[in-house]
Amino acid sequence: MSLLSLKERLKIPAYDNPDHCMMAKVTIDYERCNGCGMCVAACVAAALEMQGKGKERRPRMAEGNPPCVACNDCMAICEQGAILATKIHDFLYKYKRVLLEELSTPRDFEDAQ
Amino acid sequence: MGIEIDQKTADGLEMPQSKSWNEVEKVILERRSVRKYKNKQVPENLVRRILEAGRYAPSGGNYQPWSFIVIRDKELLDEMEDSIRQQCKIVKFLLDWKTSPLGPVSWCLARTIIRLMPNKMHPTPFTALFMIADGKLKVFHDAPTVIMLLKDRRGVGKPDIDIGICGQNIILAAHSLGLGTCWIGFVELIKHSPKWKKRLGIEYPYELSEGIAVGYPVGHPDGIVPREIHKTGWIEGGTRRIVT
Repeated sequence: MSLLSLKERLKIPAYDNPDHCMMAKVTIDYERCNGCGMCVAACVAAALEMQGKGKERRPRMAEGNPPCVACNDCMAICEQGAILATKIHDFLYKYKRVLLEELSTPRDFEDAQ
Repeated sequence: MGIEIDQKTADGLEMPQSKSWNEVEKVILERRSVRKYKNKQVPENLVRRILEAGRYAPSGGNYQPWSFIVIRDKELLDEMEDSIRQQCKIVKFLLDWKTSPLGPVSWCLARTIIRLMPNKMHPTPFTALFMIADGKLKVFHDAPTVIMLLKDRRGVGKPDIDIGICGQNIILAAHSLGLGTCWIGFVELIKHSPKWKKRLGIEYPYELSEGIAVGYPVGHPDGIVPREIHKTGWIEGGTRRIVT
């Protein structure tokens, strides 16, 4: 038993194929978002872009398969608490991510004794 | 439990709230990479102070295989950014099989180099490299100060790890003083350049290893965010189990 089969270890995912390189996704709560654009400025991956005009300008995930890695810098900088990465990124074959579970905030295990 | 999720919104977006962490834990947990800086220089005494934290990092054999170069000239940083972008363009020309004029040669080259350099050719930095080449991503994010970490190539054991520990000390100290930081790994692209070695005064046995951008952040980029839970092996009482 191993984390990656031999075939997986040898095969390289197609970088431009969204089925092979599944990037993370953010969810935006448009009832809270005030369109300040800080998340777009904080995003290293250019995964967010402003759309619309004037007061209706709101961030959205860019078209295609933007290289979001669920760093959640957008969430940290958002003062309205309106944005959060809800899906983590993963790759097929050689770069498959292993031994990982869903996103969680830090835990202190105070009641684990 | 450590985190109480009590903010719920109309479409079910849940925001965590932090509990009572001690000061050190808070510095560690709340630090985020900052990629937008105010146009305000960091006082020299603060930069000197965070370098002291780096100086006190643990290292293999107490060899301290690091050296620092602090760059605070915008023109120089801009010029360096151009050089790095130029390098990215060369890599893109050779390896981006979708746009390269080399066509199938580029595809074969990319496939070969991925096997030789699986870390540097990982999809994530590979994409970032193309974004820098296209001008969609800045290298130094207009930070007023950049600290270059140099590695002594004769370091004891694993000098790269020592540089990482030293840099983490610098970054956490900077964060605790209200500064924003970001690791700049792409400086590696110019580490063999004779021009930049000369201009930065880098000589053997030192080589450019990492960069750390330092400045005052725009907005409030710090905060605790969710991260993936890693499965941990736990061996106790003669048995092995997985804890999450």
